[in-house]
Amino acid sequence: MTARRPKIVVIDDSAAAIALYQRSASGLFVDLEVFQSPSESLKYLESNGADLIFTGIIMRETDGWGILKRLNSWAHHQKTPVVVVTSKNYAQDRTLAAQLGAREYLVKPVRSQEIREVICKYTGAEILKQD
Amino acid sequence: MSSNYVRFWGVRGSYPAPFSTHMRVGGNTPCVEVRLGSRVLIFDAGTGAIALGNELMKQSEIRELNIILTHYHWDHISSLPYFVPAFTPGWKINIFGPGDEPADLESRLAAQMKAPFFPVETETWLADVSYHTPHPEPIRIGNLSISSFTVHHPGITYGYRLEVNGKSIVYAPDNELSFIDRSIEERKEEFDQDEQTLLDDMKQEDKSRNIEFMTDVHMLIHDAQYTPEDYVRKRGWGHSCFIDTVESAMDAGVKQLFMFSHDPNNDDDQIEAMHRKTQELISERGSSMVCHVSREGMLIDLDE
Repeated sequence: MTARRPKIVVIDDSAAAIALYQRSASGLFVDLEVFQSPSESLKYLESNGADLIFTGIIMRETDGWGILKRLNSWAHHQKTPVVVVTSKNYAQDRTLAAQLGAREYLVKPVRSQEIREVICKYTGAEILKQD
Repeated sequence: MSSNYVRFWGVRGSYPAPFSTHMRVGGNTPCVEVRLGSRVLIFDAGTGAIALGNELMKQSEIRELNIILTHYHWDHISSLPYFVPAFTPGWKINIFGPGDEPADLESRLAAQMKAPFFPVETETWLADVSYHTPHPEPIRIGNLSISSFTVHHPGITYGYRLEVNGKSIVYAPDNELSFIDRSIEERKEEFDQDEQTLLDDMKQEDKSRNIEFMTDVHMLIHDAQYTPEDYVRKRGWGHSCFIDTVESAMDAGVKQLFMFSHDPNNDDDQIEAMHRKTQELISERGSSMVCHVSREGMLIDLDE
């Protein structure tokens, strides 16, 4: 039987941040779906599940608060762990993120290793063997 | 003066500063009126809006107001319990502010007018008050469109942009510029070479994003609260160092910058010294940007 690869969804309109996630996930047994457009991510998540979602806060179109609220409104994402990754290092934002169901709140800049640890913590992803 | 103008009723950040040493600049908290003929837009309802409300009560032609709130920190809403038009029958007041639905705005504003904090509740408002969300669709008032954007300040906070007579105005009273830039510098040693390359890209992106909302704006009213020395101690409080504001505005091609949300700890002399420093920076870069200190009572004609 082939093991299912956990699906990680990343929402951040920063190309550099997306590159950091891709670097973090390389070598992990996971599938990464990345979205620089929050509205496109919501279209995808409306009809697709995810094992873990990373979202930024300050984004064009829809901010991360809008993402969290929309996810809360969908039954199939009630239990999806969401991790906020943002430059906003404010207590009020941490509280708001927790109220909206975010499991973790990471302040940019984050190291690849920190992202990897979060992925492994919430998905049980394994590190792929290097041949 | 034409019938189209911007008037500053409150320019002070955080809390009122009614001190004799602060009166050349003014002590009231944020409130900026944009008057377009008989149309009245009131950006934020800090203590400056009390005098504006009293002024509006002296005339009889206008009976409809639009109050556009950036967020619900006290310095931006604390005039509402004393805003006389709200307590007067015959007025129509449209209030815009962050929230998912109108009931969110209503409950947040009502929360500051409850016992034991205040003797009367919003139920005593006799005006026709309605609540509206400004996001994601722009605010539409007649043929006017006012767009919102998320800024770097605690909680859900917006800045606003509108076009009047071919001139763009941006109001962003509370916005901490260049935050991630310094966060990266603080932790840079922890990152490997590949990560540092990505972080350099991230800094460039952040710099572009910082100025995106102010690009080529005719009139930028922006947070310029701290001196560099103060900012070292108050980084992460949600306000900008004025040097970052001036540099970003020049990068963005802003025509006129209005330094706003003055620190209540800074008296007139200190703010004027900050302004002199901006003149040096502008001169050094050979920029044509004009930089003003926002002062209470200042009027800017939009037809000139």
